[in-house]
Amino acid sequence: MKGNYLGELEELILLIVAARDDMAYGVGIMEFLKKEIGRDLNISAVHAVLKRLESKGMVTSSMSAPTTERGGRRKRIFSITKIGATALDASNAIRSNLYGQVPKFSFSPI
Amino acid sequence: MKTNGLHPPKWCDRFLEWYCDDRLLEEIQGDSLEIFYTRVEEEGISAANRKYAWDVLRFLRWSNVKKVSSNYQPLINIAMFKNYLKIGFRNLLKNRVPSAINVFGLSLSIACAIVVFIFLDFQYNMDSYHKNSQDIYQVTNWVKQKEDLNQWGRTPALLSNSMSEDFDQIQDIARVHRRSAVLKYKDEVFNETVSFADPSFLTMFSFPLQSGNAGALNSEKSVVISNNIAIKYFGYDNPVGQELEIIFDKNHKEIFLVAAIADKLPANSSFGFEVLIPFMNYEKIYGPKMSSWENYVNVTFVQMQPGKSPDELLEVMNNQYVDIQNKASEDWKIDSFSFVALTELAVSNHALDYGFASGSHPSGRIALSVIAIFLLLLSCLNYMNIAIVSASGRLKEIGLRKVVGGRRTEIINQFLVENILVCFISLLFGISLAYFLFLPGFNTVLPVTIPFAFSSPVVMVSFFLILVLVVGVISGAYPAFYISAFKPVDIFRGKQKFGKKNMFSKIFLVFQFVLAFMTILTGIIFTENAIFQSKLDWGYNPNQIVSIPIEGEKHFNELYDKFNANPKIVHIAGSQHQIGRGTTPAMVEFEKVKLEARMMNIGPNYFETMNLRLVKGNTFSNKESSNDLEAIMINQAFEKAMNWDGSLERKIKIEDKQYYVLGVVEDFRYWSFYNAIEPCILRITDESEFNYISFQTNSTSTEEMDAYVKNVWKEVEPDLPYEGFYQNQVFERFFTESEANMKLMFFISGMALVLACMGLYGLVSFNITRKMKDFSVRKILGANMWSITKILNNDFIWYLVIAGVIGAPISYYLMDILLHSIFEVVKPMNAFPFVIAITAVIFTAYITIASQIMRVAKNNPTDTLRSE
Repeated sequence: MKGNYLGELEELILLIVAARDDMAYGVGIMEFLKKEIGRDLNISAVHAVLKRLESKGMVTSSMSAPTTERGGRRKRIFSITKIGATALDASNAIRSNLYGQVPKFSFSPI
Repeated sequence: MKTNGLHPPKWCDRFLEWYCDDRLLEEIQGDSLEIFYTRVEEEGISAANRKYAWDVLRFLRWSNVKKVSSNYQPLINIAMFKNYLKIGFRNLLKNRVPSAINVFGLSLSIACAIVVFIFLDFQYNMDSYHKNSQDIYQVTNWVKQKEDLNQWGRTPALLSNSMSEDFDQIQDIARVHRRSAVLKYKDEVFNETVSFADPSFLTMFSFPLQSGNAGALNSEKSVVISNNIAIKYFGYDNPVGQELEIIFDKNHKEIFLVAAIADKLPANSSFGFEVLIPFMNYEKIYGPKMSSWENYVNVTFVQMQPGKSPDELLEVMNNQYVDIQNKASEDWKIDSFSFVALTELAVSNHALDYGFASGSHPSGRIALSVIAIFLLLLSCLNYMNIAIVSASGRLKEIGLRKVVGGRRTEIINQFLVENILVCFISLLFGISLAYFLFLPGFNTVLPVTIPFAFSSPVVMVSFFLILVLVVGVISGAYPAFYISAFKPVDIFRGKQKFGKKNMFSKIFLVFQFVLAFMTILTGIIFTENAIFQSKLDWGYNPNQIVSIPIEGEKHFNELYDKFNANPKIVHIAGSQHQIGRGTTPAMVEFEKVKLEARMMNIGPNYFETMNLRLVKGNTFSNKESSNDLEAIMINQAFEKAMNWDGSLERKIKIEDKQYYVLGVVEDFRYWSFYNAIEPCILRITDESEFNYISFQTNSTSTEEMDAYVKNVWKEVEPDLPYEGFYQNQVFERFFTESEANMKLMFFISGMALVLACMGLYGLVSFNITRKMKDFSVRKILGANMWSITKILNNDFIWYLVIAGVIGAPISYYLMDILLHSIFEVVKPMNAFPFVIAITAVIFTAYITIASQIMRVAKNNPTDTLRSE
């Protein structure tokens, strides 16, 4: 295995799963990415990332109740696990730590 | 959300369901569908459909694809292989007779397949030894003749000049034109084919040279000769630097210096040369008009720059050159140009008119491959039958294997491995059969000698590998599946009913005997016909007639005087055409009806010299009278066509001159046995036109006559070779050809008979195995061998009868068509070939059956009955 590093897209999708309980399934995530972040991904790419996250143990999934809007088929709803949350925390900590070390002037208007 | 009535394309769903892992299908399909419905509202149905298909395609990833069930194991257990091979070998040795028969049958047909493959491989790799073979093309042109477009191999002489000026893509260009000329070195004088060739011919192609180099044609008066010619004229002397005189015609004799000698041509050459001289001599000898758009040379080859396609040139050629050529030549207008690659020349040459290379018609190749595949299939199926029988002795082994945990796939594998082992042994035998027997035999039938070789080691290895695998799997698959399905319980209880009546193998056996019957009949009838043809009356008596090709009146007069002085020579005559050596077509008009006829221009006394037979009227008077010059003789075919009634009034117009008919001559074979005798005219012509002198002798000693004529010829014309022949040899080629066909047919019918008998052997031993207990009980109760034989024979007699009833009319019908399409006169069919064929089939079939009946006779009933 590649270890538990998080890729950029993986981290993003893991964040969405953590933040948006209600729409944490393939199409929901894809539409959120499109509307809120402006990234147009194919649904199969989203599935692939979710599958990867699941195999790393960062999310778990369960099937929802049957819905009418998709021909009676169930959704696979993802939710974040403890490992996933820890990974997010760790990456967030690294980022804010580094962010804090950036000299002030680099952000001040020139 | 309104979704009713709208669906994504069905094929997408079906495809998705086909490849997608069941555990993932629901979410993937659900997600795709949800997006689909959103898109339908936002973008419309067609965009949604398209994108849905795209999504389905994007989901096709390894992680989503269905996998074989998780308890997946490698199909072949390597450790067991050793065991399979060992058991396989032991079984081969244990059942010696069936194994030998199997191996023999398979190796026969494998040998055939090898020979045919080598033949095809050879044919398709002709001329591949030329280094530039990938870049060389022959220029061909499509010429309109009447209504038809014909592809001509010969090209306008000036084409090469224009092409080399106009196109940068061409690396080199070479013309070759063949003419017949006489070569003279000291006392050696022979007629040879001389090729005029551009100097680039030797550099473009990689003909191996014994001495000299590829630049040999650069100086005008140099000649390159083949190995044959060097030995023929110079013996063991070194010819390089020697002077060779070439006599093109009476006015042109030139001295050439031998500059290079070619080595023996590789066997896979579709063309080569005997005598090669620079092309520039062609114009000088035959005049400048030879080099024009109107005049043709035999062939123009172009060598393209590496990687360039000659099709780039076609546009310019078809636009500009066609116009130039059409203006120059009224008779043969070119419609367009095209190219034939050197690599395909030999196999496509048959489609060209005036082709340069040699190459056979594809029908032979197709027929041979069909026969080879057929023989292979037959022996595979025979093998199948025999393999099932021999497995009967191994039921307990199979049962035991299953009991100790052998899976069915493993038993299938075991049998397949054993079969491939048998095939491998057969392959070894087949290779040696092909090498020592079949290929040399086949070569005697062919005009060329094919070496036992493949175009490349890769081809060889892959051919043998594929052969073994295909034959092994085809012949082994059915027995393996059939036997491996037995249940161990049934086997050990002795309940396994072995070999139910198998309709398929019976039909197959009958089919094989029909084939054997047909091929034997074909062989016999064909041979009968070949003999019949050779005894057919030629319409005249060709024995004791000698003909000599001559040039000009001087030859004729001098030879005539010398022959006239010989008391052993009875008749002498000259002629422009000679029977068996060609006639000229003539448009004949009589009473407003036009008729195309063959015409022979002959001299006085020709009729008597050739022993032609008069049917009606008179022959030519043979005096130098003007009467003869206004008369013609016609053959019976002509008489029939014009209903001649013997009157002198019905005049015939030939070339604007009126002739009356003097008499009718019996139809004679003026050309070949393949064609019908057409209306033919004999006409007296002048001495100056004579090309042949013929005489009839009363001496029966050919050696004496030969020596005499050669001597006379040398006195009259020391510069030209003697090319006389006995008239009864003119159809020699026809007879060697039909002899070759005969050999091939006999071989094929022999093979078919052997294979059919092996099929019979398989089925008989199968039946005997099945009925062994039955026979044992009968023997105990006092049956004698005769009654048992009768029981066994009952079935097989019917098979043979059915085969005969089906085979006879089919082969009668087919042979009738075949013979009439080959020969002009066909021997009427009688019962004789059928009787012979039936006898042969029944005889061999009974030998086969008898060998099995011996098994029953020797069998001790207690052995078979005690096992229960």
